[in-house]
Amino acid sequence: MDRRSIWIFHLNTGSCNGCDIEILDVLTPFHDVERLGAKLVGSPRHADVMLVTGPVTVKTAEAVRRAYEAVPHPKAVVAIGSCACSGGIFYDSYSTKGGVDNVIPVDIYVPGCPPRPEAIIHALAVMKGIAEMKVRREAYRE
Amino acid sequence: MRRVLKAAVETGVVTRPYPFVPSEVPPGFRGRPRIDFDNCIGCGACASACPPNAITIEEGDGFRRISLFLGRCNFCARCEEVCPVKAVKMTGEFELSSNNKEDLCQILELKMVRCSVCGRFFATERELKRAKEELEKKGIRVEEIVMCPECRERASANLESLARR
Repeated sequence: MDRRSIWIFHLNTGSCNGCDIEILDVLTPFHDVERLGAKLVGSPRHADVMLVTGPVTVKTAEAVRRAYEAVPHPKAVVAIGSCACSGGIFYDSYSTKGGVDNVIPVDIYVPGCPPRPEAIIHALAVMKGIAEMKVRREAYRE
Repeated sequence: MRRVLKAAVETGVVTRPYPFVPSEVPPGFRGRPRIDFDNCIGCGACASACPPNAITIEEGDGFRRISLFLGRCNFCARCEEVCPVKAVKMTGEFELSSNNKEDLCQILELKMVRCSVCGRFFATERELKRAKEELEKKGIRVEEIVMCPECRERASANLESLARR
């Protein structure tokens, strides 16, 4: 288990603000993610982890790339919400890149529209080694 | 000041102990949709209802492939609503974080049946079984359905023209 604190930078890349509100929720006393050492910082240069929401619009793609480069090593990217995971409902839109992983490498995907605050905490807990990943690929052939 | 402190003491700790204690979801919460592999007949109603096309249908080499990709799902439960056999259910699972997109997939492959006239694959075995059951419930006796809709149309048109003659 990594005992050190994770500092978070939150980047909105054209999200509808649903996921952003859930990230805000995670920081309230009710869920209080600072128990796990996570803290929201204002600049990517101070961050360890970048939380990215939104399907990455064409206009923001370059900014996302630059913000990712500004995060010092070692760094991780968490895609929050279905839009960030794969483009979501905007997956074939002309004005989006269809998911964060088409622009920068993503370490953890958190699907949900929006994900529950607990789901975001779960992703951070997974990164810290407190919780286990629960989803597995399921396939069946008749 | 005293009032504030009093209120704080009376309220106590509100912070939820998650992730150390599992979290309960409220009733009616729409978590991960799950396809029941044993019940699904592969009709594709969910795929055509799905707004972001998280459920897709492909056909190839005698199989119909129904795949659900959670990474694109927006948890609207339209699939649950339209499913004629109640095979898609929204579950309370919300801990879906994963480092691999493959883990967010659920894939079901169902055997298809060939049309006895044109030889083209046209429906899944389970679909035909279900159709037969539904017809029998209405009191209509059916033999095996082995003709695709196009061939059946053609066959009935031929019958009609014969009858006219």
